[in-house]
Amino acid sequence: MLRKASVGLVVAVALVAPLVVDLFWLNLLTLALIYMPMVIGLNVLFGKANLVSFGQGGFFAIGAYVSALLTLQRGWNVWLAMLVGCVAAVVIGYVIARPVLRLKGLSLAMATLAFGQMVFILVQQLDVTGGPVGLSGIPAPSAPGIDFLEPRNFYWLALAVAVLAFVIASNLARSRYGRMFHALADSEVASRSVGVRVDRVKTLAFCFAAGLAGVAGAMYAHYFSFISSDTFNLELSLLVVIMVVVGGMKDLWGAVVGTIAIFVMREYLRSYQEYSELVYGLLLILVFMFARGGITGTAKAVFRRLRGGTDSGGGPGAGDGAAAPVAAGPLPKQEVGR
Amino acid sequence: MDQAIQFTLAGLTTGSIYALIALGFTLTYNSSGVVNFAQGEFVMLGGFLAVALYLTGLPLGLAAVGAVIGSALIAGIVHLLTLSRVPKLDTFGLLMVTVGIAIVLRTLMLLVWGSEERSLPAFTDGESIHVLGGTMPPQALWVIGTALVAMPLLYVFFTRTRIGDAMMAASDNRTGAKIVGIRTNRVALFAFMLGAGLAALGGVLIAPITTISFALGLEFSVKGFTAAVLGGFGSPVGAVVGGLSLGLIEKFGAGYISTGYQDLFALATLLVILIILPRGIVGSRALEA
Repeated sequence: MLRKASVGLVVAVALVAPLVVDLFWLNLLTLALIYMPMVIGLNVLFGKANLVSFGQGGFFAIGAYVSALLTLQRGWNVWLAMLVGCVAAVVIGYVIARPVLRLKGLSLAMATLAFGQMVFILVQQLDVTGGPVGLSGIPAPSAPGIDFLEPRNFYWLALAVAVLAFVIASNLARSRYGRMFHALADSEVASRSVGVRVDRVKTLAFCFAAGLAGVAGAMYAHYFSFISSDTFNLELSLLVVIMVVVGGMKDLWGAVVGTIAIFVMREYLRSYQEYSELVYGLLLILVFMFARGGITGTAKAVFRRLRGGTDSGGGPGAGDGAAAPVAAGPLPKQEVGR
Repeated sequence: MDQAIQFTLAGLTTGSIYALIALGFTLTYNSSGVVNFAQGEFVMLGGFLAVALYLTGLPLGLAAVGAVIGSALIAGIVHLLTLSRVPKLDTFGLLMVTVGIAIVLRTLMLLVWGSEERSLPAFTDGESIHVLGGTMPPQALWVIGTALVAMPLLYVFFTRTRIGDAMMAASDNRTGAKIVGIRTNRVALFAFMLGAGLAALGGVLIAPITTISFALGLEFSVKGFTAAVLGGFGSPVGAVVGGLSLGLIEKFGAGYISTGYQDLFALATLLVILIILPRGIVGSRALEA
């Protein structure tokens, strides 16, 4: 109950926020919402399936350029182009998933990093993408009666996309696939032995994250109406990892909290841009040294202690979709502490 | 043919730098399980410190030595503040801490030295050297020569000194080493410093050829890691073989196919090797997850 109420409150606040805040904050929040699907995707991939990607920037770039080019050069409808941008990211994700997902941990991190950087170099060098000069005049989406050039309207659009991504991710995490993510994160061999088709499940998680990064990229392109290769560098991919980790990767809300926290911090330190980078780095170090659960994990632990450490979950902020009790499942155990 | 020789010379020069960075990766990984993503930042730190020391009026040689020692000391402080405190973190957690260290270091370098590119004068003046129809700047000889001297020295260090023995023991079996009384924490610290020192040496050596900029560190980390994986992660010989091979792959790719895609060849190498040859050319134990 309490949890439903607090989720409702969060959504309500998010809905009315643009009526209250000034243009500066509106832009900041819109940006955070645009990135959020990408962070949600990595949160599922990393937090649930324990597969890390240092190359989400690559999928973000694919979504952005496919959608931008289809509208600019072929005159496609923006909605359709954005959808195709997302599909393109999924397809590329599917193609590289098979070979790359044989790797784990560190090797997987570096292989995805290599992929992301290869996309970056292609974007930088190819003629069609305009390289560092970029593409400009990318049209905003349109709908009858709604002008998406009006910042508030785009904010609500970005909010809708982010909420949709969150709901899908939450359902996915709660579904049998979500339980399979958990299972193979614990032990691939054990999962395989109880009939989980490990390759398929991993590919699903990977493509899901790729698709959400693609959506984010497409939204980004049509929001700014300008993209250039400089945006899609390694720092972008690392930033997504940082958002996931700082927010807390064991909880889908961590993606929400992490994205907003990093964007808000970046804006507060805007006049000292170098310092914001410094803070990212320090945050990353501190999280891994002292607070592996990130903001949400730490908050949960503190909350639990305050309540006397009686129960193992719940509480207002603790919306861990995958930890929801499920009666029948292919696997007896879902939460094994790592 | 002349062209091929030219590419080979250029490839061996860059490759030597990659080999030094890869050796650092290997050292740190072997003795503490840390894949130090900040290696590339220490390349830049070495370069920046050398420029700074040189500008105070020190002779170039002294500035170079000072930069390497300075970088190793800074690495030591960084290690004591971070990695020394979390010896039980898993490999991935350790990697992420070093990513954090890399970001912090590069930002600090930007704050201290600004975003301008820096360079050093060549170690020795003189005409380009002609080798078998190709030419190379004298500095390239310094690069290759230093790398050639550093590697046997490392070998001697590992096989003839007590701390070298301890590092070998720790890399073979960390728990075992601890049981026989080796202070693995100290070994880890020392390996990190030595690795950073090697990277800084690479930075000092290339400062006269390319430029030093805070933005290049990550790239060097990726290249050094690629070299280490290509040769066989964890193997010192592999680091050298991988470094030189990567340099050659890059220069031949750039020369015969396209300069703009030079980095693409290195990345494709990384991806392909991880997938089809995870033990690398020389063959090592596969990289731990």
